[in-house]
Amino acid sequence: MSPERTPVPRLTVTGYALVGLLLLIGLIALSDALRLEHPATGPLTPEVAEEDIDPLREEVPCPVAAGREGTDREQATTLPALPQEVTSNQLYDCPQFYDGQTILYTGEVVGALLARDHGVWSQLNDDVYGDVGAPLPTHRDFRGGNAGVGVLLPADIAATVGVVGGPGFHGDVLRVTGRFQRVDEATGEVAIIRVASAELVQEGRALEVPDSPARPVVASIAALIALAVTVVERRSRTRR
Amino acid sequence: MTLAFRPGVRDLSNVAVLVSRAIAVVSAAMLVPAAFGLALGETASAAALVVGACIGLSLAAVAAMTLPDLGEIGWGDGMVASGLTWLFAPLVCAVPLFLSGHFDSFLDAYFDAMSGLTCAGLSVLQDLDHLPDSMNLWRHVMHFLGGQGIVLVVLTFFAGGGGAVGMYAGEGREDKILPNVRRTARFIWRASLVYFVIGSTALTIALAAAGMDLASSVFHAVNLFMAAFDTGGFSPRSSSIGYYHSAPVEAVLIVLMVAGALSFALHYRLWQGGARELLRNIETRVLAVTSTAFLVMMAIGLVGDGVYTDLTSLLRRSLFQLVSAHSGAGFASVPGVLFSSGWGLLAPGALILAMTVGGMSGSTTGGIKAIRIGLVAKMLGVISRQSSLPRDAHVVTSYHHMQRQDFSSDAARAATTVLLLFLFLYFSGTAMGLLYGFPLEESLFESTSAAAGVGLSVGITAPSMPDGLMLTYIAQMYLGRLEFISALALAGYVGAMVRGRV
Repeated sequence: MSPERTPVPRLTVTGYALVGLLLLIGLIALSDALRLEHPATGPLTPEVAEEDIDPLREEVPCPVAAGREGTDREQATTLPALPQEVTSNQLYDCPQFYDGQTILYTGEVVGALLARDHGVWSQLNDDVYGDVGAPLPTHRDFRGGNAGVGVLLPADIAATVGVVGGPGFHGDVLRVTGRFQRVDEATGEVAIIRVASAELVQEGRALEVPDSPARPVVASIAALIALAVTVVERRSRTRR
Repeated sequence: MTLAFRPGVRDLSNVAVLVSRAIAVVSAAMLVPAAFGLALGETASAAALVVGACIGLSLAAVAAMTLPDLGEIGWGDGMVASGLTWLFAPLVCAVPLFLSGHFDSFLDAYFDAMSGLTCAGLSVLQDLDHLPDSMNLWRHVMHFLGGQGIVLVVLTFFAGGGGAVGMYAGEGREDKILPNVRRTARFIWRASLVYFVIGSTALTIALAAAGMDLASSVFHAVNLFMAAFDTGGFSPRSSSIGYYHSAPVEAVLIVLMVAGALSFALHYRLWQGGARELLRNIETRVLAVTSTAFLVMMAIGLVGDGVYTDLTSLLRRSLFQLVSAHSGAGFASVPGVLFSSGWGLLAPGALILAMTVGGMSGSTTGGIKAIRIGLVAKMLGVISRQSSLPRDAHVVTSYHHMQRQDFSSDAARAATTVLLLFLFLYFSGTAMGLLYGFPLEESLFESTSAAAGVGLSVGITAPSMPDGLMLTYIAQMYLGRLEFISALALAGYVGAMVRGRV
């Protein structure tokens, strides 16, 4: 503590704390005002409005309970004759049950197509943004997570993919039939689908990102303030 | 400043100046991804980043104009400034994230900003796979800023003296590699730059070999480098490292994560050709023992539960996940939900223990840190030996940590205190998880991941998680990153302001 120290009165401290609080509220309010201009409801609302938020992240009860450490895993006595339509959550929550089964799975091609000798790797997302819904930030329905499964596509099927999803694009939505592999022996990859056939459900498209006209204005004003204050501060410091 | 007295005007203005400079640094850093966004034509995203940068720079400029020049700053001022910086910097960093349209609320964006800066790597961002590249870059730049240490940046350019030491220590760093903190900070930047060039080049080659085009390879490599070397854990894709389906990519990341888990003091020694330090250092010895033990534990669990039957898959998955957990990077090469649904009990248990320990002190990792485990083990050894000797006998022992050091009960007591505080942090987060109805194993896993700044998740951390739990994890990430010291100093400072003597 310096000897010439002047203690700050409690009232002043309270005043500064209030100013800080107001600044925080102002920051959040300004951020909210500058959000992209889109309706509070969007294309997802009709499909999932009645369900809980984030329905795809709910834990899925397995048809056959998974074994735990030190316990015997139950064996499925009968397996369905036809491929079952599944979600990524079902596959991840019940990997033992679906291991080696032929399944039907629908999702948006996202990221990239990674061509290798043994096929083409990609990711099919089946969250409510990727599947047949619409990706963010085209709307303000926050009802999904980040869910998808890695798939190994034969080269001829991969060649039919027109649009890969990513920033600014909603990728092709494919309905694939293939074998789910908890551990793929040939490649060593985990929890993937070896695709045998695919059907295009929805063509990919460019996204229309909503506008926010206030953003450039606020950015310009804030930049001018920062610049002006910095110049004034530097000049006054030089004079001192 | 001492915490028994009410802080003076000078103390407060010193703290405010230091915090405003840190805000200026993180705000200016936003201009890098903003320029990248403009180059890619991502105008909305670039505008969001410019808005965030300008707001932060304006606040810092106003502070610089209205506050007096930085005076003589004490150790306590530096600590408090560090504690406040790590609370306020994420606020400014959250602005562009919130404006991206991928977060439901400002709290969600603040969670990700805190996670990014503290290098935890947990995320509640929605629809990551459609996030603009410039915003994705910003997430990883936050890892770089936080991992290197925001305060370190400030020290490099702005500060010196006792306050510098306080800020440096307040950020959870202890090593003084070179005679003064500023030169130490510059060495850390130089070393990081060298690793950046080597690491991102190696990753680019591995990604291109994995089938990615060159431009995307470079983009992913730069992001992954920042997340791996700074042991952050964010990834450009929602399925983390599993997305690439590539063993070479995982191998390069393992090397980078290990490099991130080593202290910069050890890096300095290695740069000087002192490779023997690796064998003698108490921390490398602790990490060798814990890594081996946890790897064996994982292998027994995974084989016993029939998860992996061939040796290659077993080694590839268990080694990557163990290094990821131990270093605090938090990358996942398998979907995180599988840790609870398909990996049995023993393997996730080994991951939890690895996360608990963390890496070396003075590195970018979180957790208890190897030095503290080593000191507590030494203390137990001393107690054990003491008990078998006559009452008046005094056990003298030493350990090697950059140099030979005599074991002192003070150091052991300090290590034990922090260890206990970390355990309390892990268990309190677990209790909150249980309170919200999540199972014990998952609550413990997620709480440890947040407090140790790891970022592995079994699915509790999601956009739909309760706000109370989100706030708990934010507090855990904050306290874990600062290793309590500057947070406690900040609490003492506030207490002194309220009831301290004049």
